Amino acid sequence: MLTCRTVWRKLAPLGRASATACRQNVRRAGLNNARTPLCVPVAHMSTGPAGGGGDNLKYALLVGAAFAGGLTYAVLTLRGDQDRYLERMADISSRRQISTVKQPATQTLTEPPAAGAAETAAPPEPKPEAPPSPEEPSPPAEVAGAEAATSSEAAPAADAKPASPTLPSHAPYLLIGGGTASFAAARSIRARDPGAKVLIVTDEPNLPYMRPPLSKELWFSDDPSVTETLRFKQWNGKERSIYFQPASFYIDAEDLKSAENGGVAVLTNRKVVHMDVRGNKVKLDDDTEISYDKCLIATGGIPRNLQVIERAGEEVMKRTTLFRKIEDFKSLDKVSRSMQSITIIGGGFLGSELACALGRRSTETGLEVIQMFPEKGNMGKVLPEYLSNWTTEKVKKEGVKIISEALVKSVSYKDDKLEIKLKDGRLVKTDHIVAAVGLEPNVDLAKSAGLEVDSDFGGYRVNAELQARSNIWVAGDAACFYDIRLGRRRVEHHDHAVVSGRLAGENMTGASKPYWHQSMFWSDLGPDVGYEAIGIVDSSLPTVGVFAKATAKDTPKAATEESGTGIRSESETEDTASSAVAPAAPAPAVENKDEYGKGVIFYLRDKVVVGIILWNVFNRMPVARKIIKDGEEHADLNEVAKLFNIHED
Amino acid sequence: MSYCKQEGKDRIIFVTKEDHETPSNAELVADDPDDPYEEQGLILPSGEINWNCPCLGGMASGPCGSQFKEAFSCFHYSKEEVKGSECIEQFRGMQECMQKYPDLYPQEEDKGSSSQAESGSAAAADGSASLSENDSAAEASPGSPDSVSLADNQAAS
Repeated sequence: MLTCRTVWRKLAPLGRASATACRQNVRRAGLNNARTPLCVPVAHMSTGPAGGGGDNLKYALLVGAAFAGGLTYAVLTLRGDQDRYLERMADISSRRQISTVKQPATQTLTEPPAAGAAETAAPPEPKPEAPPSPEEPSPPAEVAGAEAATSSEAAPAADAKPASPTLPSHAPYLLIGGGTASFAAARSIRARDPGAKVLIVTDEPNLPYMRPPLSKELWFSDDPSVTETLRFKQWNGKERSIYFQPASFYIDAEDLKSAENGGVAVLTNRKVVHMDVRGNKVKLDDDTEISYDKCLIATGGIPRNLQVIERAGEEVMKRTTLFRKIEDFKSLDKVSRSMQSITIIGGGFLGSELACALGRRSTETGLEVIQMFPEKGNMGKVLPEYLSNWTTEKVKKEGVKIISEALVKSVSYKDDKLEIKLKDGRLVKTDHIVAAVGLEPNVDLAKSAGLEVDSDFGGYRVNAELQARSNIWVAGDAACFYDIRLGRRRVEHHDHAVVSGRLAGENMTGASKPYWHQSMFWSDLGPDVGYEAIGIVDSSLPTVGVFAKATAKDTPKAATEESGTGIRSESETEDTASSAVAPAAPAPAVENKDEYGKGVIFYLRDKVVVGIILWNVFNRMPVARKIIKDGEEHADLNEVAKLFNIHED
Repeated sequence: MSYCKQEGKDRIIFVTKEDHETPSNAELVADDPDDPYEEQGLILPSGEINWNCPCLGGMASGPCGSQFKEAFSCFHYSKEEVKGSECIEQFRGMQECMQKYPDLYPQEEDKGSSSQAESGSAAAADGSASLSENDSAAEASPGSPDSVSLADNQAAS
């Protein structure tokens, strides 16, 4: 931009000089025509240039020639286009003729030819009875032509269809992104708007699937083909796929327009690159344009990477996994079977879960699993220090080598190993790195769509009803929304994606509900440590923890077995009254010398409870949700803790 | 005997069973059952069916969603002595549709559709969505348990 300006400044005086020179030359009226260069502007001026003489003539000739040339070109192009159009039409109609001429030809071989009857019968008929059973005998060519033309209308014009599938040019409900939030919205829309036509566009090759098993259940499967089937056995013994629905649930994108009862179609491997909010349409990476009535942006995010790794070169990048998608799971699974040492950088949910999963595998294969993070203990940003330390000990028991208070200074590839140098001088040698250092929300469309991006939390800024602009909603990891109770935030958990997706779907079909039902999240660190949480759970807040001693029955495994559900948040929707469940196998007596067996931890902000963790205490989330919803100041949190009956199962 | 300790800004309380036996004196705000913001159960305050209830799983939104809605609506509003006896056609339509999608609605379906009718009657009788019953029927179709969203069943609680 600046260079343009400097160039312009330099050229401007030149321009001025040449212009004055021109004017002077013109006024000299034909004296030195040969010397003066023609410095007339190319643009046609409504008034002719001042002055007269030879220059004028040259100017006129030049303009005339240009005009004539342009006109000739235009005429030729148009004529060529018309020729091509006629040719194409002829081509199409001749193709139809060929296919249908074959039909009557084969069928009329047996029929007695009655040329006279054919001539009288064929012309007045606008349409034959049915193409497969024409009564006409083998007709002469022209009748065949007429018949072909009419019967081709009846016959499905399979041959006239273009080779590539026709994508819908309009979708009443367009969902950008094919993850959990998008699927939840699709389901919500279909439930509320009968016959709704929903189009999901995703840049992944997969149909919508759930993410939590990728770092938990799938690793505990005994099935060697789990990377292909992507099925996992839930604690209650029931098996299911990570895909929300099998392929038969969805309809083809081409059929969306004509589907009588509507449906959900998924366009995979397509990225939305441009959004035109004024025109209510989007453009895909293959230049297809799709217009919409209502649009949801549920683009999620991409895993962050450490700068030191990005700068470390290709050999290091090749041996680094940023874990998020199915393909990452597949490749990490392969790596874990072939490598001897894996290092996980990051001590949050994903990092700790993967560490436990790989640690479990290490007992079979002798794999070395290292986890390093800047905090003092696992989940250091979530759990209060005493609990974080306790959890770290548990993770170590799963076979993980923990390096805490570790800041990575540099990573290099040497002697077929990765060398991680820490700021305090420690050196770690490993074969493969998994970076679990956060998620960067995907706001690629913000610029073209003119949508606001939040500077504090990242993501698209939306209101309490998840709306960004008139017909645009955002849900899931990418939404920075206003939570009436807890303030503006952005949440990266599975249940939030479901809740916000559902809410967005409801609002897209006419409801005007704000984000009110608080989503929860959970994590399991091995079979003995599990917790559910809700609200703002930030270790920098003051906390009050109320604990009881745990018995063998207080483990995540027992909890899900009892309620007969597979995924933790599901047990919320299904009353645990149902006793038709596999009887819990008597678990071996667990010796819990630790003090923090089970309990409730309250997170306070200005004396109000804004977050709650249920520590090895399950199926009490509704109570926790209620306390946060009330937003009251409670004088004695022990009294509040009584509501949870932590001593009971 | 409960005791308490403080670690910096974090307070830790250990309680025995006896300590927690006395009822809590914590005050909770009374809930408004008609609060429009809240997640609703299967039956809305107006008496209509909440098709978006997580308890229904994907039944109302799948390929056979419209048939399901017809059958279940007919059943819900039925005033016959044997509830839903006039809805045979709709249930048959639903069943036919479900048979076309065996991997969405596995074929123990003869049991599935009729047990759904029974569970529906139980729900209507209680005047609330008894989630467990709905789900034991819905479990016949794997489409449902995949919904991992929450619903505090306000009606039931």
